[in-house]
Formats: sequence, structure tokens, C-alpha cells
Amino acid sequence: MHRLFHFLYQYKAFLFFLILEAICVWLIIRNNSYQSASYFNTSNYVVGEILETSNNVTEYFNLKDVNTQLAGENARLKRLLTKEYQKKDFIISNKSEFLKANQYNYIPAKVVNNSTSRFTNYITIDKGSLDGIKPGMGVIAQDGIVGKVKSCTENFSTIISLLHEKWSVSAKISDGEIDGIVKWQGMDPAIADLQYVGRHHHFKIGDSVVTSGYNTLFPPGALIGRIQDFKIDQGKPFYKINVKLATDFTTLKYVYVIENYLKAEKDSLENQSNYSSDE
Amino acid sequence: MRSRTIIMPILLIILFWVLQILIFRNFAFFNMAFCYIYIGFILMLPYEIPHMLTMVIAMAFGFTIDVFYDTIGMHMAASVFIAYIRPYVINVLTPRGGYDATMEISIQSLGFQWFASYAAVLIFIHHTLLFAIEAWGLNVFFQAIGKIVLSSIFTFGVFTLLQFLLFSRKR
Repeated sequence: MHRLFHFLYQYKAFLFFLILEAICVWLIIRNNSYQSASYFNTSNYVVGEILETSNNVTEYFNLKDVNTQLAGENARLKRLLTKEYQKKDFIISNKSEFLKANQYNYIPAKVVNNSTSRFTNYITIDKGSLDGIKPGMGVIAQDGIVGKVKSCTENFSTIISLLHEKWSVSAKISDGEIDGIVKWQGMDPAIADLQYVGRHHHFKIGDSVVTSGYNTLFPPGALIGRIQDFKIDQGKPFYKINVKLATDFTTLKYVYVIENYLKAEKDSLENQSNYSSDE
Repeated sequence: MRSRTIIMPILLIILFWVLQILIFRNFAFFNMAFCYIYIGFILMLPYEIPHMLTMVIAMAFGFTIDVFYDTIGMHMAASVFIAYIRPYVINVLTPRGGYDATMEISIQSLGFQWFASYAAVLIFIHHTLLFAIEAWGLNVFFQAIGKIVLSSIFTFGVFTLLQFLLFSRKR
């Protein structure tokens, strides 16, 4: 017994070190488990406030770019609106159709923290649960999709970026209705993979890749990117397709969080029938 | 000496935290080279501080970095590790004639060569551990090696520069 205590005393620094590292590893594992709401991250109030202050200083340098982006988006929306007005035959006949037409609500938010160069990238925005944001909502920007809300506090939310090694989104090549899954490769913030496109399909460089209607995060048809190049190895069942992402993650300033009024209904139906929604 | 061992770490904490979070968090060259200058704080902690307390300080400091990177645990684990091996590295690097009793870890008291090897070894170990944890189980092994090497060089350069700019005193 005496020798045991002597031993423990002699190696106390090492044992203490092991205990501390064990705590760290536990935190890492807990934080990385998919969709676990963790408290200590950038949507924490204090951290969010500091990031916002820091961002307030730097955002003046980007004002010109942001203005151009917003003006461009305004023009696009105006065009859409005119088109919509010109459709004379847009008549809503029953409640279900009305609900589907108004299924998505967009909550604008400002990016206060963003990373693109790690293997697992996250974005922090300045809207939280008080603005109606909940974990699991989809996020898009003016050009294309951005990611999915991981956790939120009252005033801030953390988003899993599309540039995240462990996240993928179900997609299709819009021209041919060819289904696949878009997943980031881990290195270049402008390029992602489109996986599981079988070799019997036909498509060409420049085809747009959009979200499919299979998930409840994004409205079907939201742009993800365009096919940059593709190849197929002898004997492989699937193409290897590189997609140039539509969203420029390195200059992301404003995003829209998508609230889907019918998400709960679709999810519960799919759970009943034992489908797992593919996200 | 006593008040020095308390005040200096506090000033160092503020300095390195501000540098890391408000400035170097926004830099990444070629998407490969990052500057984790905050470990300069752990490298520069006075040697008199007990070993176990150093580890606790390193862990707490790593935590304040982690919350801003959304990587809870990663910087903590790497910081605790270098805080643990720091005394052994200092032992291995003992110059001829041993250390003075009132040793201070800086270029002035120990010379550039000693300081450079001390910083290079610890920075490289820290970055290796950090990127290894980040890339854990992913198919990005070779990219991780590139990141480790380039980031180590970047951090080392900034840290050395900082030593000459801020901590050098005319004798």
C-alpha cells in the first residue's frame, strides 16, 4: 500500500496529465457527435458578442463588396417578382396548395464568424432562437446553399458549413433528374464531390447541381454548384464528379435561414414509415 | 521575483489572446498555413510555476481559444500536452554549465539558438497533435501533413518576430 502511494506520488504529474487529456478527449468526442447540442461554442452569448464586435471593425473594409452583392440580389428578386406577376394562371384552389406555396420562410442573418480552411468548418450568425431559428434548419446564401444550423442560443447560431467533412446533402443534376450526394473533399473551399451517380447516366460539364426534394432542409431546386469536370475509372460503378460550388464561402457576409413549415409533418410521416431522411 | 511570476503571465495571457482571436484567427495563407500564436503564452510561462499548475493554466487557456474556433477540446488537448512535456524539453536542451537559478525563458537570457530550438520543437509537436486530432479518422492525411509543416513555420516565424519586437530590452 505504501509503495502504491509512493508510486502515485512519484508519477503525479503524469497521472494528472492523463486525467486532463481524458477530459479533453471526452469534450472532443461529445462535441463531434452528430447534432449534439453543445453549449461551449461560438453561439454562446459571450463568445458571440466578442465575435460580433470584432466583425464590426472589419466589416467596413468589405462594405463595397457587400453592397454589390446585395444590389445584385435585389435585381434578381425583382426579376422573379415580375415573372410571378405575369403568371396569370397562378390560382390557389385549396388549403394544401396554399401551404405548399408558402412552405418556406427566409430569415436573413449576418455572418459574424466564418472559417473555410479547416477540415470541419463552422459559421456563426447573429440570429438565434429569439428570431425563430432552430437547430436543423437549412441555410442558403444568394448564390447557393450554405449549410445547416447546428445549435443556437437566444441571439446567435452556429451553422455546419457545407465545407464540413462529415456533412453531405442530397442533390440532383437538374437537367437529367439524376440523383446523387454532394460532399466536400476537405481541401478546396470552392470544390465538392458529387457522389453515387451511376455510369449509365449522361450529363455534361456545366450542368447545374441542385438540391433534391428528398430532404426537408432546402427547397427543391436550390442551386449547389455546377459540374466542373468528371471522370469514370474502369470497372467503377460511379462517376467521380467535381462540382464548383455556387456559394463563395470565403466572402460570405449575409445568409438566409430557411424555416420549413411542413418539415415536422414530412419528418414524422417518414419516421412512421421507417424511412430515414437523407441529409 | 514573486510579483513578477504573477503579473507577467496575466499580461502574457491578454497579449496572446488578443493576438490570436482578434488578429490571427482571420489569417490563413493558401488555406494551408495557420498561425496558432497563442501557444507562445505557454512557451513563455515562467519556469517557477509548478508543473501541474502549468497544465491547468494551459488547459483553461486552450478552452478560451477553443470556444472561438468551435473545436472544443482540440486546442485544450494540444496545449495540455505541450505544458506537460515543456520541462522535459527544457531539461534536454540544458546548455553547457546548466541554467541560472533565476532563469527566464527568453532570447535575452538564453540566446537565440537555444530559444529557437525550444520554440521549434514545442510548436511542431503542438501543431502535429492539433491537426492530427482535427483530421482524425478522415481521409485527409497528406493535407494534414502539409498544414502541420507550413503552420509550424508560420507560427514559429511570428513568435520569433514577436520576441524581437516586444520582449527585447536594450541592455
